[in-house]
Amino acid sequence: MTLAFTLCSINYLAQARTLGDSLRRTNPHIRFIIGLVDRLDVAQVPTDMLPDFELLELHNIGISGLQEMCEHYNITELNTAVKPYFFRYFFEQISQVSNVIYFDPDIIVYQPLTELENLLQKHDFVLTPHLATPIDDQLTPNELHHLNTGVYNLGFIALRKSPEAIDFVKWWAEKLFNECKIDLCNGLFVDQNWVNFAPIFWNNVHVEKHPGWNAAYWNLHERSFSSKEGTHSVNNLPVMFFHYSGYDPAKPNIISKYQNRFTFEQRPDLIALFEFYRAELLRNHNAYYRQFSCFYIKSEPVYKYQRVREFLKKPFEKWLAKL
Amino acid sequence: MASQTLIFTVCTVAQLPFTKVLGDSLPPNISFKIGIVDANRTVFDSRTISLNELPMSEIQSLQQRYDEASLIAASKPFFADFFLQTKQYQTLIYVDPTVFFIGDIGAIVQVIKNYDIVLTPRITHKFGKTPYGDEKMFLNTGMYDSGFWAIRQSDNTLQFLKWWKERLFDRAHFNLCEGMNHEQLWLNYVPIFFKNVLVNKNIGWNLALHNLHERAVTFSENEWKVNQTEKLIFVNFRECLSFPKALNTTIQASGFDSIRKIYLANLTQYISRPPSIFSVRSALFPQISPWKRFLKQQLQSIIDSISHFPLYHKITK
Repeated sequence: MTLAFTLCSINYLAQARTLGDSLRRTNPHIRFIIGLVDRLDVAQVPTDMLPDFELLELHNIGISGLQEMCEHYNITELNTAVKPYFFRYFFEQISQVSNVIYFDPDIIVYQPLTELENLLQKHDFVLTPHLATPIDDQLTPNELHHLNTGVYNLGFIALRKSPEAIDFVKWWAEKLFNECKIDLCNGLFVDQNWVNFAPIFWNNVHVEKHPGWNAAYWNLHERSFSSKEGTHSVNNLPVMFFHYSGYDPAKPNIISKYQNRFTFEQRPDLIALFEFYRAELLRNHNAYYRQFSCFYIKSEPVYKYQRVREFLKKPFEKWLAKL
Repeated sequence: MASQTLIFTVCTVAQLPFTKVLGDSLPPNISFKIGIVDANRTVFDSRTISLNELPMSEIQSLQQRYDEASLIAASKPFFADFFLQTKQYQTLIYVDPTVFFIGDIGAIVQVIKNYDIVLTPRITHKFGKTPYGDEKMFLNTGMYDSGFWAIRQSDNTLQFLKWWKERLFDRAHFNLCEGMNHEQLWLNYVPIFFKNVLVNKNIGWNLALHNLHERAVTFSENEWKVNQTEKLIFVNFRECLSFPKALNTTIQASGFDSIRKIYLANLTQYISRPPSIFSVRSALFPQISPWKRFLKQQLQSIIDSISHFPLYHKITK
């Protein structure tokens, strides 16, 4: 049995529902679970607003030291840090599971995942690179940006329940317990940079470069899209799943807040894909879910008097730089 | 066939003693060249070629832009391109000047017959933490070691060199926060962007300080072996010339010290003290006196307190 899951807090449930709907349309045989990094009982989401998908709340998967993780991480870090713990839960607790696929909530699956399931018969891991071909300009993001954040995008990873994958998940969980930070100078970028090690420490890792897999703002330079009768294609191949990272339906003119390479005017080929996504998010109550703040995350402390602080720090910083 | 294969290295004039030891470790029938990056070359040896001599328009910019370590790193694909395109060598093996061949180089020549590009990972197994460093230290410095790579003449290889040259033209600094570790971090892309790439996990290749914790060296029946399974082919002594005491245990436990002594004995034939050479570990963990370390920690703690007063916010690394 193949299981697919996503991870989010209540504020991203419109995205998770959209992903779930797409899987139900294209891959009804795949069991889909939303891993919820939040508490429904505390948030008091009315029953009619709960997604019509299996929900598995973080506190129910048996992470020892969860409290410590929550104190240590912000919302992005926590949502990514728990990924291997969910993989471990599915491998250990759901006996029929043979494959587990993770999708970021802001993904839509457009086609049956037959090829992926075939690959998982032969491989223990399937990953997708951010870029399959070089990118020559130095706009954002460019090749340099993925060198300290990870060459594979962890919005998608598929694992076969095998000794190699189980060993990987165990290692990954250990790492992410306290090193799922964004700290580029020290080699850390959430769960993603660690996965650079996957093809090195383990064997049987497949890296899929099909342009229809995990197409997203970071690889638009090598992918040109078209739509015909509701079917989306990329470089004349079907779009398998598109990753709408950094897109906000409240700002429909922006492809992603994380990129400055393309606008919709330059890339009209993207309009159909994004119009569909926007309509799906609105239908799935995006504005409603966005109001919820995550139970696990305390608000970031606000430090006032920044200028005074900078002034006071200056002599010490100068001294430190001289050492 | 051997003459179609070239081994080359790149260094400064001051580092030439390393290349003499490297040259001595090579079989006599293999071509060996040394790229020199100094602006004013002061040696005349038929095996050396100066960066200035390369017929490429980018060279002057490289020399103006970079410090010594970055310039050595950035010039590697320019030399490689020259050897493949102008000199028409069929196969190139780049090694650091601090490399020493112990086993049969034919094993490498054999492998590169079947691939366009051959790389070695810096480590092959998860390990957590060792006196050398921890796993995350490899994440922002690179998966594959730039102290060795082998390439074969092909369009694919020329595309790789073109790509690498373009990046190293202006992005070969040592600035980990910006995703740059000289030429090495760029290699992370090579198995993804280019065809016919082998990542050779053979533990007998490229023994170095950063992978000693996973490799034990033994000598028996006239042969050096790693973990008693693989033949030891070559070692890179770049980070073993001087090292902190903390790493002494790793070196002793791996049985590596005897090879290191042989290497240093060879080196002293040419120079009494090893010339300085860039080491990523030393750059990350400079050897500083305890009082200086203490002072640094105190200053950092004052800066953090000013940033976060009056709230205590957990600061983690």
